Amino acid sequence: MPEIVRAAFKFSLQQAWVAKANGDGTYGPAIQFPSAKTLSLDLEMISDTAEGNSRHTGLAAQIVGVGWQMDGVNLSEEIVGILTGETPSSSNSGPDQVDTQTTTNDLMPYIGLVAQAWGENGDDTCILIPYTKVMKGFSYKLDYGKYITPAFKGDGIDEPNLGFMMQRKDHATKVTQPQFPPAWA
Amino acid sequence: MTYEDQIVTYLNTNVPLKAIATGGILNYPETGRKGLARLLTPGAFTETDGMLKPTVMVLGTKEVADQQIIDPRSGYNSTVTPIFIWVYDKGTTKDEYTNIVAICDLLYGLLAYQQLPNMFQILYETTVKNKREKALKEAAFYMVKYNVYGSRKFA
Repeated sequence: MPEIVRAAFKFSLQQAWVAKANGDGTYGPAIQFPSAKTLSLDLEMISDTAEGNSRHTGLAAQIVGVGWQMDGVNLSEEIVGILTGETPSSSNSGPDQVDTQTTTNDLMPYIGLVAQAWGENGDDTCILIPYTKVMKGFSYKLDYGKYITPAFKGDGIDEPNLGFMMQRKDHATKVTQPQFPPAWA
Repeated sequence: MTYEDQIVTYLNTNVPLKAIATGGILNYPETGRKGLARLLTPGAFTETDGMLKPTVMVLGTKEVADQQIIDPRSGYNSTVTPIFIWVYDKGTTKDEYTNIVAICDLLYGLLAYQQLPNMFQILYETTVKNKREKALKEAAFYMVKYNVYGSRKFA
């Protein structure tokens, strides 16, 4: 029976989606990461320690951003287009069709990320990083006998309209597809 | 209910699968000490010639604590349970593996990445293809393996 069991564990990256962030709490069309395997999250902090009388006397720490890394299979043109702003173009059709995606020194756009893990009671956990950019890397290699598996790394900050940098929702009944705001619920 | 019981019950609700698996979708323990045999599982065999019908047999083995999640206080252990599914057919020159392949394709759609109650997920691992079972008059079979990611805890 679906339910939220608050101490329960969640399993596996079930699905992850990306969309262009418009900066006003709305997003472009969501595209699913094909076969995403790992989404790593890292809350970034600033901190300070007070000292006196030969000991630490105070601690302060504050979350200032959220770092993330996505490892997925396939150089999807749509995904790369959203993450980098490099929109692919297409010419001809059928067997003569050619898709072209050109990388220049463009500025990275703001994007949103959403991902889902499952509980064992028909429930789920969804994570939304609403306002982020690929900041630290977009890497892949062409390797003999191996699939091309790109990795993307970025940072997220508070979305100007939504007012948060990351939000988690647990659903008693797992959702078919986590949505971006304003449908994020 | 064990994971294999759940899977057998679930597979038996699928009409297209049951239409091809005319010999039945069985849990291994219910087939008796010697597995598929004409005396104990007559529904799996054709009466006229004693050959196997397309039959699915599910076996759950060796549940393992995978050490990903542990909690001695509640007794919680995350586990992985391999589920082996043998898909048999008589495998004569005419029929070969046609029904077996069709059944395995249906099984994949029904089981891979799915979640039944009280488990995290069923993940596909492998298919061993184009085999013959000497003990069943050289019946053709595939053996498919899935893993059930689940848990145990104190009652």
